[in-house]
Amino acid sequence: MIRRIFLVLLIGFGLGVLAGVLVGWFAPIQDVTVGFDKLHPDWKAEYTVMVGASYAANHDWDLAQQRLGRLAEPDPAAYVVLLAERYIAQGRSPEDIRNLVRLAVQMGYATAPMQPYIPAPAGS
Amino acid sequence: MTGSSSETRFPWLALVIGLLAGLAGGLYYAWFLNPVQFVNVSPQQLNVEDQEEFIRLIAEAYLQDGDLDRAQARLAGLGLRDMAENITVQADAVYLRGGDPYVIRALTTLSEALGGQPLAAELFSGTVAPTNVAQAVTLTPTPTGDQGALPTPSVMPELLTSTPTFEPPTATPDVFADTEFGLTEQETACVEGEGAGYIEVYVTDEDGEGIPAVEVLVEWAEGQDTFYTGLKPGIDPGYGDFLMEADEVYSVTLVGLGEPVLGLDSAGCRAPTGRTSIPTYRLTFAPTDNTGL
Repeated sequence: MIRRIFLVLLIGFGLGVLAGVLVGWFAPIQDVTVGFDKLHPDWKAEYTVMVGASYAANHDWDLAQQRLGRLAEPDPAAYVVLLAERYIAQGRSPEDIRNLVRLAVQMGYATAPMQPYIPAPAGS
Repeated sequence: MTGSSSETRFPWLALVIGLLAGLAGGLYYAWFLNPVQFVNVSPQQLNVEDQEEFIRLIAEAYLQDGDLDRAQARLAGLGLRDMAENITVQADAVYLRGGDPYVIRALTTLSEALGGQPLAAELFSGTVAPTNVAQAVTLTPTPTGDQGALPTPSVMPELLTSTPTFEPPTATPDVFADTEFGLTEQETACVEGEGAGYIEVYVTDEDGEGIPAVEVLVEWAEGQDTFYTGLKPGIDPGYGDFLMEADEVYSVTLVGLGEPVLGLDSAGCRAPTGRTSIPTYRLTFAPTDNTGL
C-alpha cells in the first residue's frame, strides 16, 4: 500500500511539474518585452535600413552607431556589409541599398558589389 | 473486508499532494530558474522605450523617402490600434519637452500624413523635405545587370515599395515670405549657470506677437546650424535659442527674411559674481516693412 501511495505521489508530482512548466512558460510573470537585439532577422534588416535612411538625412554618425549598436550584433560592420550585399543580390530598392552602403562605407568597408551604390563625396 | 477495501481504494490524497508539489516546482522552474526567452520577435513585442525609438526611426525614414505606404507597413509591425493617434501623442510629447527639432519635424510630418493633428503642425507644414535631395538625384546608380533576372525580394516585400516624392520644405510661414525682418532690439547679458551662452531669438509680427516656425541660421568660423522658433512655446511662440561654444564669433540670419546679425562673440565675460562666463545674446526681430502682411 505504501509503495502504491508513493508511486501515485511520484506520478502526481511528475504531472504537476509538467503542468507547472507549461503554465510558467506560456504565462510568464516577468516582463516579456524585449529589445532590438531579439527582433526577427527580417525586422533587424528593416531596422538597419531605417537607420541608414535616417543617417542619410541627418548625417549624425554617432546616433547611427548608437542605433546599430542596439542590435547587439557581434560585428556590426560585417552585419551591415552582408546585409547591403544581400540587398544588392536580391535587387532591392536602390535607395535602400544606397543607405546601407553609406553605412558600410562610413564603417570603412566598400566591397566590389557596392561600388555602383557608393555615395559620391559631398560637393562633387 | 475493510482491509481489502482500503487496499483497493485509489490514493487520491497522494495524487493531489504530488500534483500540487509538482505544480509549484514546475512554476518555480519556469518562472525563476529557466524563464522563457523570446527571440525573433516582431516590433510589437519590443519594450516601450524601443517601440518609441522604432517609431522615431519610421518617422525619420518617412521624412527621407516620403513613402507613406511603407511607413504604415512598418507601423503595422507594432500592432498599433490607431497609428495617427499614437504618432501624434509621441510627436506632442517630444515637442512639449523641447526635443530635437529634427525628430519633432519627422514625427509631426508622419502624424499629419496619417491624419493626425500634432501640436507642432504649424511649425512644420507636413511636406516631406529630405535634406539630401541633391544627393538623391546624383547618386542614382546605373543598373549594370539585367534587372529582370534579379530575384524578387523575398523578405517582407510589402514593406519594400518606394516611390519617393520630394517637395521643398516650407517651414517658414509663407505669409511672411515677402516681409523683410530686421533686428529691432539686441541685449547682452553675462550670467552664470544654465542661462549662459545662449543666442536667444525672438521673432515677432508688427503687433509684437511671436511668430513660430521661422528658420534661423547660425554660422561660425567652422560650421553652421539651424533652429526654429516656436519649439519652446512656454517661453514665447516666436522664441528659439542656440547654445554657443566658447571663443567663437557667431552670426544669426532669419533664413530668407533678412540680413544676418554679425559679431556675436562668445568670448568670456565677467558675471556679476566675478566669475567668467559666456555671454547670452537676446535678439528681437520684427518686420521692417509690411509688403507681405
